[in-house]
Amino acid sequence: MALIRIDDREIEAPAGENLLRVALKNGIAIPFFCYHPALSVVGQCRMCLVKVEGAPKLLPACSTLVAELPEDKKFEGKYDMVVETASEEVKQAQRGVLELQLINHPLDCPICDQAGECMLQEYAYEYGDSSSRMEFEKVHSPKRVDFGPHIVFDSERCIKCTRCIRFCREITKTNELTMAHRGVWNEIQLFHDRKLDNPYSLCTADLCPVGALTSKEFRFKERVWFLASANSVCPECSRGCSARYDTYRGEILRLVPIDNPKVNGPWMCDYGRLLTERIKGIERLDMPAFRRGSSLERHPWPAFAGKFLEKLSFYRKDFKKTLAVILSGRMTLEELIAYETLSEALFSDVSGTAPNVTRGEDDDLLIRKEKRPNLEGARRLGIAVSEENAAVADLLKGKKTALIVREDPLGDVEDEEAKAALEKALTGLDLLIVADDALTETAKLAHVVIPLPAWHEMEGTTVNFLGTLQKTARVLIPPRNRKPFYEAASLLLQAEGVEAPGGSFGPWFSKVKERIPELSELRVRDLLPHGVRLAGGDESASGGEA
Amino acid sequence: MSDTHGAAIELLGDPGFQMEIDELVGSYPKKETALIQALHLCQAKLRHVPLEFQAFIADRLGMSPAHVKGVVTFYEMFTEEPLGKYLLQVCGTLPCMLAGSEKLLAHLESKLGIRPGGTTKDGKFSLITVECLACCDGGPALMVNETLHRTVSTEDADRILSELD
Amino acid sequence: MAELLQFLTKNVGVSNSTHVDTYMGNGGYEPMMKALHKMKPEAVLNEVKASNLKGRGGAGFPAGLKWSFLPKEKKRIRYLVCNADESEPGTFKDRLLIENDPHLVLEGIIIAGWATQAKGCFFYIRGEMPQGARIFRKAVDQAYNKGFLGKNILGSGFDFDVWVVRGAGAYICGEETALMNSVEGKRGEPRLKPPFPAGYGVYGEASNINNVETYANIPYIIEKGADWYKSIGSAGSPGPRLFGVSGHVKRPGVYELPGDVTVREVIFKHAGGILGDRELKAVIPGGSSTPVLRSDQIDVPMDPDGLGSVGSMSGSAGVIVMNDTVCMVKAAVNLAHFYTHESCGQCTPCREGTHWLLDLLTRIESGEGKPGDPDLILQICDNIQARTICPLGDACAMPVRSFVQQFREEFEEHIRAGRCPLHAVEMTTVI
Repeated sequence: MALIRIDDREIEAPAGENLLRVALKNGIAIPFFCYHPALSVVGQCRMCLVKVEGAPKLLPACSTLVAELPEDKKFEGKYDMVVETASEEVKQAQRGVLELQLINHPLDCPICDQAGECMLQEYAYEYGDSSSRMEFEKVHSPKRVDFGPHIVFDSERCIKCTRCIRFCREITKTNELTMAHRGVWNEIQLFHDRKLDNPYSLCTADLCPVGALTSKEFRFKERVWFLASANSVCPECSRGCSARYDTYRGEILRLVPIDNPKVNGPWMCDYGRLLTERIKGIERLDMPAFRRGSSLERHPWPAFAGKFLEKLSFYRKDFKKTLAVILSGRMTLEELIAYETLSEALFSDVSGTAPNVTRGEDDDLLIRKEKRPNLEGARRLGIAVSEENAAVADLLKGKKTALIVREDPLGDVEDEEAKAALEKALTGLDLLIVADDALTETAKLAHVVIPLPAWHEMEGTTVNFLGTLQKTARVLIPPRNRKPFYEAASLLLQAEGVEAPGGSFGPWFSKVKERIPELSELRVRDLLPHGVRLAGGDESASGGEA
Repeated sequence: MSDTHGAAIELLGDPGFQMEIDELVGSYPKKETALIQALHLCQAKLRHVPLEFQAFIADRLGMSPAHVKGVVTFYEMFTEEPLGKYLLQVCGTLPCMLAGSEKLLAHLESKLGIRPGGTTKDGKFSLITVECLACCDGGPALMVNETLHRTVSTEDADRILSELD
Repeated sequence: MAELLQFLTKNVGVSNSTHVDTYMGNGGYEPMMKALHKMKPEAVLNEVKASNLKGRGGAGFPAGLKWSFLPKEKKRIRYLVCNADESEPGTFKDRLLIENDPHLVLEGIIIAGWATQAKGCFFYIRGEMPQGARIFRKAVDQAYNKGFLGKNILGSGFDFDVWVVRGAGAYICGEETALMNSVEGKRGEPRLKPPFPAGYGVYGEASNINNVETYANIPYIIEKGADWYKSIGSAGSPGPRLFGVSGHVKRPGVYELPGDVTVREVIFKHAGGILGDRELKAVIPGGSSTPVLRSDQIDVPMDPDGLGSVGSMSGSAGVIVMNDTVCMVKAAVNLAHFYTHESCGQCTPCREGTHWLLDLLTRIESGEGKPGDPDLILQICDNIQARTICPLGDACAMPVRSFVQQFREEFEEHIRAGRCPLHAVEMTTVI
């Protein structure tokens, strides 16, 4: 271990460690653009220049490694390195580099999406001068370039940090981007008519310190300082990337990955992010309903509970033989265990099966073919999980009644014939209860529809394929009659006269902890920010570690 | 302008050219070193390095096309648009400027009716200014394609051009 | 008084000098044979180290010392690189050697290969010297035919190859790590140092890079010894040196002289004095990247200490002479244009700063300059120098700063008068 002094602090750091990393880990602010912990070091932006005793020039902290000195060479008899990050010389260098970075940078702040989260803006404010001495025509280059299905590129705003090029080379290994030309005419380009269309293209918009690479979907939607954010989990595959949901007035405007070394590192795939687009215009019910012919007879909670039990009474005695229960890897642990409790009281202990829905293949980075976030959680609760892409129709064979939670088998099936057969099977049921967050194709056939909140409208816990237990957040508050399945369960149990846990997250999470002993000592705050790795996960698969 | 796409396809389809490329690649300890050399070959034969060649050589050397584009656009001697038959390169850096390169350039501009970066309508001459050619004792220096001419007066320039057909 | 020497330029002007037979007929390749047959690699390296030969590309780093940085383990690959990218304005001596005496350079490379037990040498020659590349390739072929290259050279057990690699028009590829990137088929962008080439070079292998003229000195050092070598020139610049003189002199050309010849002697004794019989106004002593000198600063030896004493550097010994018809602002604009054009663009200070300097200098030249411009130029130079990945930033900042400092009054006059004080004077030209 080396002992280094940075400004007035003494810090121990392993020899060979990156000096910038050491500083940041210890809460010492050194500005930088081109450095990124998950990418190679290039030392190009020169923003992180610091004074290192013994070196003739200022050195970039990002490319300086901690080195140990022999005893007789140590500074002041004890330090292996002495670093100044805020001396007059360093401040002058920061001002100088910033000034030069800004001379050809367009005055786009008023129309640039990056404003408010722009590293150039922040550093200019923190380290720069308030006026410009550059009076000449700025160097111009292409603006509003259609770079890919989700990315717009503005070459004038680009500060040539090359993070995007390195990302495509080192992380996705798709190599779409290059620097073209030379000198002040340096310009990021694609080859010919190829596009920046790898499955992680929006990560380049995250990486870009300025507004050169921006998201098409988020373009001009809202200023970032008006966004309300909550940290949660993406529900689109079994990786469950940690993501920050940014919302404005009840609408999710974008998802941004949270750097979680246990799950996804600093990245996230485009498909997960773009659930923002997929949820637009989805048909949803605002309260539970019974189908009467072609119309829906709606009843609010808690009145609905009594009416539902009434409906059930005709079929209950035969449930053991006639009931098919299809649960889902989209249900949180609390919702899954709620079904179990409910089943005891109302569904004759009939156990459910969660379908294992896959699409495509696992890729080398984050994307999993298993497209449900909490199947591993279901497994750990002892819930049956079907074979990969096994036909849901098989689960309905010989059944007359069915409860389907958070699955839309009719909407998912692609083959025409199989779809027709499944539809026949569903419509042939005497009683079909569907509890889901949207009025899906399956839900439209149901006799009883119980609307649930969306994944991001509910607190919960989920376990990914690696065995990492994470907490989801209630990013948006749903209408009061769209209750999480566990809250619905509490109300139904109450109506039945059975003792039930309270209808909120806490009591049901406690029930989950009772079931999974490993969790017994866990408190909710232990799950933040990165979740907890449980034993027995898939050790062979990549953890997305940065 | 001639059909550059056709010319590129023809060149790539020529087995003799493919052999030249293979020989080039084999002559270095690692194939990547052959990239810039192959680009020279293409620039010489087609008077530019079209996208078709960039894609071809990228594939041949196991590189991404974007990487090749980055290389082509970095170096002065490669162009993505065809040059004229004769590329007139006038050195404008300090020693040649002291020798009178501005007079030479002005003379060529007016004689050919083009500015630096331009090509005559008949496609015969392209004119560019270049940086120091490392023959400063023979300024003003003028290169015509691969031939270096030293101490080029306006009369010399006229003579040189008249000898090019 | 320093007299012209005839070691490095011995074969220049000799008929058919580029042919190996001519070269050998004049004693060529005997030093190589002496090294391979009579000296251990370590001994050759020590002799070169003892000679204190300084690199001739511009940095002046001791060559033997640089060779000694290479790792010695047998299992590691070592490459040599010969930097024939000669692009420093005012410099044209490597061209002279390549086109007239390629075997001298090649022999030096082979001896260096033996000393460092390298696998081969990448001879990187700028793309604008196609003739030179052809000549050198031919020399290489001749050497292979003679058994001076290839496997088991002259029965010594030493294998060594030479690969000729052409550049394609980029001054920055003269910087050692940018050159290596270019050899690897990449954009010529300099790398961060550390690691240094000796540890991580071409394709990540240990590499040593030297200039053409540096290699050309090696056969003489082996033939005549380090003591002889040090007896020429000064301690700071031993051995014969090729000075290239251009600009407003009567006899521009390459002059082989001891390393400590004075600026005055080079200009007035050897290069014939000022063209147009006018007065000397300014002289750049070591290639465009070195600070400019005034006419009262030329009585210094052209070695590092001598030129250092007047605020400049020995650089590549490219002497650019300007008489009193030359506008200093115009000269500065010319250089700023060069560096802006040649910047690779990786790092902020050089990429943005060179272009801003060019804009400022241009408006001063055109009479649109503002009173604060000269000081602003100096501050920008301060913001570029020592802040960049490679020395190109310094190479722009130092000369530009020197023109403003040495000729401040001329800059001020442009601004005050709104035009060049020499506007009515026709600049001396050769044509």
